[in-house]
Amino acid sequence: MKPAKLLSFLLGAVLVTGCASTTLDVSARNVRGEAEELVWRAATREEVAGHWRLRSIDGPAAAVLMDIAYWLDPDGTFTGAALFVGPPPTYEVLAGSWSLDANGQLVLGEEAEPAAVEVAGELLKLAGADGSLVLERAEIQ
Amino acid sequence: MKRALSFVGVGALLGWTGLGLFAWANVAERVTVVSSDSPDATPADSPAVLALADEVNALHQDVRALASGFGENLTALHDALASSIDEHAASMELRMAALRDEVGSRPDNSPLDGLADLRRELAQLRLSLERTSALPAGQPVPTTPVADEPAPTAEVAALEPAPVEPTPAEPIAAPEKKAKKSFLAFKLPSDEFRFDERRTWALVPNLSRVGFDAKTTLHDFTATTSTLTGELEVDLSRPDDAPRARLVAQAKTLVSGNGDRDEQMREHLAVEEHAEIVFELASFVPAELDLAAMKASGKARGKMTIRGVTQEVEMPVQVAVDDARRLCVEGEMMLDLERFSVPVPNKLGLISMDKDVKVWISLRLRANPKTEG
Repeated sequence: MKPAKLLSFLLGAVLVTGCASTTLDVSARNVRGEAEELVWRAATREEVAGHWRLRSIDGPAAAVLMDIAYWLDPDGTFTGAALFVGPPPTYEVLAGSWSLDANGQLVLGEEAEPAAVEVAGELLKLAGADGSLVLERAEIQ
Repeated sequence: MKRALSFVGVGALLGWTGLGLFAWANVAERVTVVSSDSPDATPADSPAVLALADEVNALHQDVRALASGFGENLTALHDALASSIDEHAASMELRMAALRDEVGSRPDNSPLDGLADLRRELAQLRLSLERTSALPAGQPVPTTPVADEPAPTAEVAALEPAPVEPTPAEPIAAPEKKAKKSFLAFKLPSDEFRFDERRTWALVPNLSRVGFDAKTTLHDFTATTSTLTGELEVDLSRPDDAPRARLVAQAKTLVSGNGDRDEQMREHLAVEEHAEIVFELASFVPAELDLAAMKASGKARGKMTIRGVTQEVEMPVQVAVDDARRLCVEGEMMLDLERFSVPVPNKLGLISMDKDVKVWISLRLRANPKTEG
């Protein structure tokens, strides 16, 4: 290719890319939740165990919960604390045993409905009829 | 011949008469005539009549026995009633005598004193009840010594009719929040979110974004930021009732995806001197309000400060509550940058930007927890 033609091609390419509108579409103005952007996969028992604290919450549970945290011990016991909106805002603490059932769902305690449990990096997602929440590993600094 | 025939006829007649007499005599001995009203009447000495007579006699005896017993019972009942009435009358007389003695033993012998005592006791009971209802659940109820309570004055007790106070409503135990099983292991209380109450809402920066769309002669672009703070106070069912809101964006965090352009934008906005772009709500003019769907729309009027210049603006907005009970606020408006003394970019007169930009907001707010019931 002759230099003149090559220059014209490059100049045209620059102009085309430079003139392309980058205006955000109205439908894209909403900020998508972090959980929507990640690729989730089923969690193993080893990945579920640990100290988790709330990162985000969606669904009906978000209307009544302000915060939640779990300690899921590798030995199958767990304890959790949830802060309800109240009024007044009140913490509730419980303990019990946890397990993954045959479908790979997390069962916290004896009466809770199983929760779909997935991981993405250091995040854990629990989902059920009352919504979903994303937990992150608690690291005390 | 005629004479012979006459003799034969007389003889036959005599013979027929004699035979008739003989027959009558025989039948008269055997026939008994009985007169009765019923053609089916049974003779009195028949077995059926005799059995019936015996039965009637037995019934007669039973009736006599019942009459005798009934009379005896009536007599006994009469006696018992008379005795009871006498005892009751005696008891009443004793009680009346005791009351007379009690009334007579009072110094002033005033019949209103009893009423005053009753009122005093009633007042003490009311006070005790009020104290009891004011106690937190589970706290023991202190006993109230009667002597410590102030008695109403005799004058008031005697002259004024007892005040008819409205019966205090029975304290209705607050219904327990409907609990349900949850995958979180906790029993979640029912969602008691109300659209029709004044609440304060805090901005959720991670789920919020503001920006502007600009047009240039070369290409259009959008600049956005989520570095926001803000709060809203409003009764969503009456959004025009003194709403209060403040939204602050950090000007230097606006990005458009082009570093050079962003640098130039910061210079034009003078972010070092005027770090914040601020909007303060002054009023809201509702256009539509759907309480059932928890949606509202209208015009938000307020003051916007850009580059240190404050101007009044009006932005059409839509407000809705999502399933996570977050408040979603969307809106956009055209804004003239020259009103805020923002230099409009222009490169050698070849590449220029329109002075009117479309400012938009996409906000998520969460209701602040209520600290009181």
